[in-house]
Amino acid sequence: MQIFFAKFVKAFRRYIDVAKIPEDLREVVRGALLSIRKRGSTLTSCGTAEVSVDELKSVIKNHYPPKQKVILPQEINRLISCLENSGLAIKFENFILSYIFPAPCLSDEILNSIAKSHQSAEPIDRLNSLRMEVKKLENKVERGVVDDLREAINEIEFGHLLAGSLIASRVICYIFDKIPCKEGSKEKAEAKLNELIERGIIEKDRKDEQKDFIWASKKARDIFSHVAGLSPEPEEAHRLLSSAVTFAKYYAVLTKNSSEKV
Amino acid sequence: MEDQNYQWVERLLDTDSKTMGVYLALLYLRVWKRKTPRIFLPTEITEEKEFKRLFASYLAGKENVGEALDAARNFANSVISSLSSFIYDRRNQILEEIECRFFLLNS
Repeated sequence: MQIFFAKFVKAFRRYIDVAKIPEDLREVVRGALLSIRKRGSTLTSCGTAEVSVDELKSVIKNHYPPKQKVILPQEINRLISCLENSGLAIKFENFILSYIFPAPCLSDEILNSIAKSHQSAEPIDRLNSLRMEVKKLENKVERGVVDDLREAINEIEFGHLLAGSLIASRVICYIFDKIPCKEGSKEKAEAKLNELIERGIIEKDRKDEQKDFIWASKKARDIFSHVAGLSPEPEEAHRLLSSAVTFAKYYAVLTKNSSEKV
Repeated sequence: MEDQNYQWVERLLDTDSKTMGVYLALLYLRVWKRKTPRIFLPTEITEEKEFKRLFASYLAGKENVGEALDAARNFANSVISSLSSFIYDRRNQILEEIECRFFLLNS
């Protein structure tokens, strides 16, 4: 079965240039595109939209922050040029009074990437570095753990923070259950942390790492099964994802040590 | 060409650059040529000024431009050669089916 549209969106993500939209106006652009998507009238049934210049100006104006009382026409014209230069909107020469918004540019993925690009490039670098760490874990932990970690990275990269956090939490909870601890321990997270310290997997003086272990164990459980409707903040989602990769590293050492003992 | 699975399209979408080329050709036919009753071969839409402008706006200076253009040309020619005898409504309908393949826009 072919899913062409997903491929079109992926290609657009590569070829549009969101950097051409001023950072402080990306939320305005995102809101305007969402309004265009929601207005119902589209050129194609998939959602490619034709929007008149006047309507576009009005939609953009409506998405400026309310505190900005005066919006100069030149400013709106400049933003329309940015939309065109970035590839989010297309101007055909004979459509003098309208712009075309290709359906992929109105998809969740592209809208989220506009919002995400509002952040610094650092999270993207961090995701790529996590990808490399996951690659190193191949053949050291079960395939399912590696697949889940990759999926979580992809989801967070697409801006799907809840989906990415849920998958990362699944990895953390799964590995947490595999870490042995003394029977009858009341505080399981503390007991499992001590076990990892005793085995030399987490160093005794690495208080920051120990603190992260406790935080991730509790947060993952909350997000995955304990608190319905919990929605992670971007920083929290990234932290949870990093923790999931770290947990997988602990797990790789744990399983290696266990098999060596056998 | 009008197989329900559009496998001939699938074969053109194996890289991002080819996929972009195909989508731009699709968009060009669907928007720019939406009211053009028949498009006669051997006209290459990829040689038309407006298509070149559209194509360049996304792909100028990028890697694999050649394969993107080839994919656009193959796609357009396949659509045109198979549908030149049809009214444009039918062509537009097929282009939309390809654009939307298994997709419902969230609203």
